[in-house]
Amino acid sequence: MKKLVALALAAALGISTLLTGCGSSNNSTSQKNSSAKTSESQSAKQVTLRFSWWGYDSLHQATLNAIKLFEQKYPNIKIKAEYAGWNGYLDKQTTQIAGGTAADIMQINWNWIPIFSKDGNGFYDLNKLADVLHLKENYSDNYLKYGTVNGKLNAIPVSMTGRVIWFNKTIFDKYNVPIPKTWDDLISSGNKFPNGTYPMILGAYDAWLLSETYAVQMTGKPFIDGNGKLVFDENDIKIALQFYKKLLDNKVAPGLQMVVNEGGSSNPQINELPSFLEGKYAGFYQWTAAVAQEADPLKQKNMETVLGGIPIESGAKVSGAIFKPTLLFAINKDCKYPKEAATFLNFILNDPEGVKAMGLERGTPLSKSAVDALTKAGLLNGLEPEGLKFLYDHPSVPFSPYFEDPKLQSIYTSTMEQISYNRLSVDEAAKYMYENVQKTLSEIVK
Amino acid sequence: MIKKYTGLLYIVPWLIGLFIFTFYPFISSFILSFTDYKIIYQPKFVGFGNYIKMFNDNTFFISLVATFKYVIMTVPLNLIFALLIALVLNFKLRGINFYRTVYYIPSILGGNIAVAVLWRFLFGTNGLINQFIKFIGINPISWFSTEYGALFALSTLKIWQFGSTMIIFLAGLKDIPQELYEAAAVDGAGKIRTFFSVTIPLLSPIIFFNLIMQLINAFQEFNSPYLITNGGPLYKTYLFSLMIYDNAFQYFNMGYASALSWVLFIIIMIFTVFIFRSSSYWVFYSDEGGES
Repeated sequence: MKKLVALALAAALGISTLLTGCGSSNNSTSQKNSSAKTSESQSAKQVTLRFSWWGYDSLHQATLNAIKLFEQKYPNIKIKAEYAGWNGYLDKQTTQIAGGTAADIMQINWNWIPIFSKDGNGFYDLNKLADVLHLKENYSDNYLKYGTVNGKLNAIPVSMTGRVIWFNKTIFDKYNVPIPKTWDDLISSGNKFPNGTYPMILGAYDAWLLSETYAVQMTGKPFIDGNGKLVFDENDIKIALQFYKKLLDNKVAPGLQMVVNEGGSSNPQINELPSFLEGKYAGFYQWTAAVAQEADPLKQKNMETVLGGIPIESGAKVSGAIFKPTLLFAINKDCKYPKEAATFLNFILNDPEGVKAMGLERGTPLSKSAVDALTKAGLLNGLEPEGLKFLYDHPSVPFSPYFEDPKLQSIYTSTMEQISYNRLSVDEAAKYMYENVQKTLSEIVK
Repeated sequence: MIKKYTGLLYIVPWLIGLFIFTFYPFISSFILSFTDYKIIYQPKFVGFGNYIKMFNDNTFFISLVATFKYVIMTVPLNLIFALLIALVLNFKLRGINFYRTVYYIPSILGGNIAVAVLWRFLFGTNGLINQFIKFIGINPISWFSTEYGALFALSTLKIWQFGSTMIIFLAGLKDIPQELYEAAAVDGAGKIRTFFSVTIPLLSPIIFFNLIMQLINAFQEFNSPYLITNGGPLYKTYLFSLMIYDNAFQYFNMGYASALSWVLFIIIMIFTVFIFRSSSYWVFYSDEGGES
């Protein structure tokens, strides 16, 4: 009997160690130091690093190719790829970080930095690896500051992106409507299309982003500042919401009822909507880095996408454009082989061979040597670089990392829904949004 | 001696699973419900703060109402539909096993992404259902943008997965002694009378079981609002599990989410106890014997 109990206990112990073994996040500093030292002496030793990212098929393929090239160049370092789609990615990342099982090299979103590293100690300080990463030669401090908390470089921004309007030129040409250049052009274009066809499709969140851009341009103020303080007052919000109402009244974009009826939710995947693919919605408001998601399926249907940019009111001091890092790369604070991890990052961010393999899947890189390599290879062209140039040429006020907080996003969505469903007047909706954003910010920024 | 514990040893793997994946989260969620826990930082004790917060949270009430409406709509329809199919599949037809398998398939598919996309197409503006409605001369319905339309679309997805309920009904039907039907026929009872006076009473323990299981399932429904409507329009399909998920994994309020889960647990408990208590009035166990 004793034997049996011992056996069962041993089995239980084995399983529980197996479960907790990978969760040892609480490495003491001394452990970390010693592992860093050993990693130097063992640099020729076989090392395996985990690299996690989200994306879509072509991005996955490009990244896997870059990994293959890296492993050929550095045979002692193996990269284990862990990739998935965007939906639910943050849940997984959070559980992994909390459980101490996050990958060694992580692709992260800009607004995750305040979530995971409020004091700057949530990720490895990449300043310590500046030489391996060739930071000085390739990145200006203006961009590195996006990944810096308390003087610690938590992550390197890969590229910049922002929202701009894109139009389906084929449809505009079909109905002889010129591509809108001003806000008035945009508003009046709605009535130039036949019934059932709209110059743009705006889900609830897109609608808020475009309206916010408009209001920032008109007021010259950011919506929320870098410290998480709401800068807009109720009247400023009203400017944004009135603009959205105008878009709806002038049939520039379909009401959310129509969007919901077709896509199930008020923030649907635009490229899955049959009406969009048939050209009934002839424009969209999309990140420059993600324009291919909509432009590619249109191209397959022989429709051409062109940049619409952001209309600029004469006398406006800022464009109002949302401009932020597309995504960033970070190294796990508990990574045992930070130098090797940095070697890999350097390869995909700066090394011409790696950069060419990665292509423009994550947007036009910020790294100078990457831009050189892509220019030489003739790869730096297409809609994404064009949209990005527009954003560089039309600067705006700084965009707050708090803006995209998921709870705030649900408030934006709900406000736009209530306007579109005629549940609230613009004045009431502005009050609703102001109070709720204020309340939520006070909870998030502590 | 060894023999005495062999059985226990066999279930050790299951026990380990039970303790790690059920008891541990169960107890820790109760403790966490009294804390402010942002997942990556240490939990802070806040007493009943999370429970008090609920009463100031409009979304909590909206979500609760949506969940009740969903349950009221889904559970009876699911039971009736599953029972009807089970009755049909109880006939001695040629190739009946094939049909039984086919009717079980939707339950295997469940609420996955592909099915969610299919549902969006079915109930979409120009979806199959609206095409059919147009064909018979009725105006198309805006399913997803109206409260009951959207709830109904989600309900049908659950109803469509009637497989396991149906199989249990089918087993129950097979258990009803044939002589009772014969006796009813001799007494001159018609089909409908037989159904209500023989089938339903004898099936009542199965109905009771399925009712409880479906009720628990419906209260916990997450996949369909998450994948299809995302809680919209205007939070009308913002079912309770979706609210728990959002608070836990979108807003990182794990403490509040734990408190919400406990509220859901208590609601389900109350309903289950109520149904159990009521069962003495309407559930008939044939082995109790006597009164009929």
